[in-house]
Amino acid sequence: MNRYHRFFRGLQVLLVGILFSSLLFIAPVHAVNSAAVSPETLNQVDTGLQQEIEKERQQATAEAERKLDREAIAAIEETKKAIAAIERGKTKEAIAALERATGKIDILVARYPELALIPVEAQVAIIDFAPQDLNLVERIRNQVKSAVNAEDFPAARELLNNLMSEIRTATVNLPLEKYPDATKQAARLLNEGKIDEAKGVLQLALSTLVVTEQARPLPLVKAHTNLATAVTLAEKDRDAAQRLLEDARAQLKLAQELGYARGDREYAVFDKAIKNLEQQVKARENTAGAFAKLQEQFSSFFNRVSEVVKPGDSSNRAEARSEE
Amino acid sequence: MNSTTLNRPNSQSQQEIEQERQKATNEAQSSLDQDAIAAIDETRKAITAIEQGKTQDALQALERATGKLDILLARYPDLALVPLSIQVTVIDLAPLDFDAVAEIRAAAKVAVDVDDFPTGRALLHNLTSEIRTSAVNLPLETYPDAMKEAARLLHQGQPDEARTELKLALSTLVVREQSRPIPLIFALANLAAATAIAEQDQDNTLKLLKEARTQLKLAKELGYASGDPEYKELERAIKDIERQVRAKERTEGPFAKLREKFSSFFNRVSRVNRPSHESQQTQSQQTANA
Repeated sequence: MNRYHRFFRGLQVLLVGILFSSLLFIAPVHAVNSAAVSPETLNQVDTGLQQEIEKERQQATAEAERKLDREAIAAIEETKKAIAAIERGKTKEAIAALERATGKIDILVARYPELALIPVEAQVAIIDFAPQDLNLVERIRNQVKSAVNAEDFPAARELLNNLMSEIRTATVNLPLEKYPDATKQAARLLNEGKIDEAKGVLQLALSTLVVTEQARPLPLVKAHTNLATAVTLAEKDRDAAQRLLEDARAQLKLAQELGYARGDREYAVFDKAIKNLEQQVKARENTAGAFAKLQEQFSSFFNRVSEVVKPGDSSNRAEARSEE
Repeated sequence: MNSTTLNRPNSQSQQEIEQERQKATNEAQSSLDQDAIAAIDETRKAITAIEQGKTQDALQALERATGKLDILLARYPDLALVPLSIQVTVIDLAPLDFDAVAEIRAAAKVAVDVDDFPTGRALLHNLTSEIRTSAVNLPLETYPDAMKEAARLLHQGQPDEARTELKLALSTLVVREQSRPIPLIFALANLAAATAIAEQDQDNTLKLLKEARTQLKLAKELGYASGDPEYKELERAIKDIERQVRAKERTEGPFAKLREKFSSFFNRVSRVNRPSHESQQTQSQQTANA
């Protein structure tokens, strides 16, 4: 523990703000207004890059919103209404809410017979805690491994949080396989006068909402922005274009070191392609075609990496429940 | 709703967690330093004044900040960090089923082993069961110098540089976290309940003691001070009491001794200070809600 302690003391960097996942649980007692503290610390990015990141965030938000299903959202709302009605002792109201919920769910099952998860809520957040310095990243990686090997999971968790640099979309989904049965069972229990059991079943159903996550790695967004800027400068300012290409490779390496699609073979392909471009820029060759091809390939790689759906942090599910 | 727990729906458990959360909050609040808080407020005022072009106001704010910091330095010459804000959070996401915990542990190890840190992170997050106190601290070693440097820059007519210096100082506030493992809170509660009924209800006393051992094991499996040899000693002590209860021996003394030992273990584990995230730059959050 002291090792981690010393390590972080040595860094002398800040830490004010709110961890995305913890936001859902925070009970502030006496908090400094962290919004007023602009953490301009490790990852200073220029305005152009900030704009690109913001654009990407908006795109992620729009995509996430598009996927939300109104029927599924309504089914969850009706379930919450049923619980509230049970708590007020209004069984008939609860049964009516459950009938509406079941109706919505039946439509969903008919509409998506093959689909297991229906999105009902999404959160998009920019989380950029990772250092830019690859040596520092390497140290954190090693410390994570030591902590996990020693089964010091709390320390590993904290360390792993320092390897995040992503636009994260967390989606809460209704599981079509289990949820309909739960609402029907609750209705049956209510009809049998088993009020508490019905409430328990509904609360359990809400707790079975499944969280999935997608991450758009920020170093890849940065690399992509560098490539795009390098294209515009290749003819006029070779030095700047080369610096941008070099930085694009560094960002690519950073994404890999942070574990984003770490084993993907395309990392090596891009590294080589960018190196080739650097040579072509240096030799004053025409690079328009090569740039266009690389950008296209890179976009498709970025989309592929960003589309990966992982099981999420269940704190989002807790949020869904806490709204009850 | 201040806190949410997924896995322990019963209201008795909720009360125990709430009680401990309250305790953590009170303890953390009592450690806050008003002079440190005032120094931060004055720093912010100085930044605002610089942005409004009011150099004199900024200088006055910095003088007040420096004054507060001098008091702090005089009061705590040996202290590196002075707490100025806290957050207490209940995070209880870990499954209660040992098989499920083992599965997550194994999957997390594999993910970290193959450098798939995003997956490892998500998995390990699901092994959290704690009351977390996050304290934002003012670093006494570096903060006062930054105030003086900013004042010097202002005097030299370099307001932009002074503003940057102040913002950098604010970004060097250091967050430290402490975790009170929820399974240990439950184990303690079980021991207390067992003590109360040991003479009258043998069966339930044994059930409570067994549950205390289960919670102890869960805390260890979730990685809370998992290498601590005291886990074994406490487990053995609980088993000894179980045997004494079965033999209808007097257990008052052993219970008192065990609870004292357990409390001191819990306090020791909960007092461990961890550094928090290196740079929490949650820049924005968009909710597309139902």
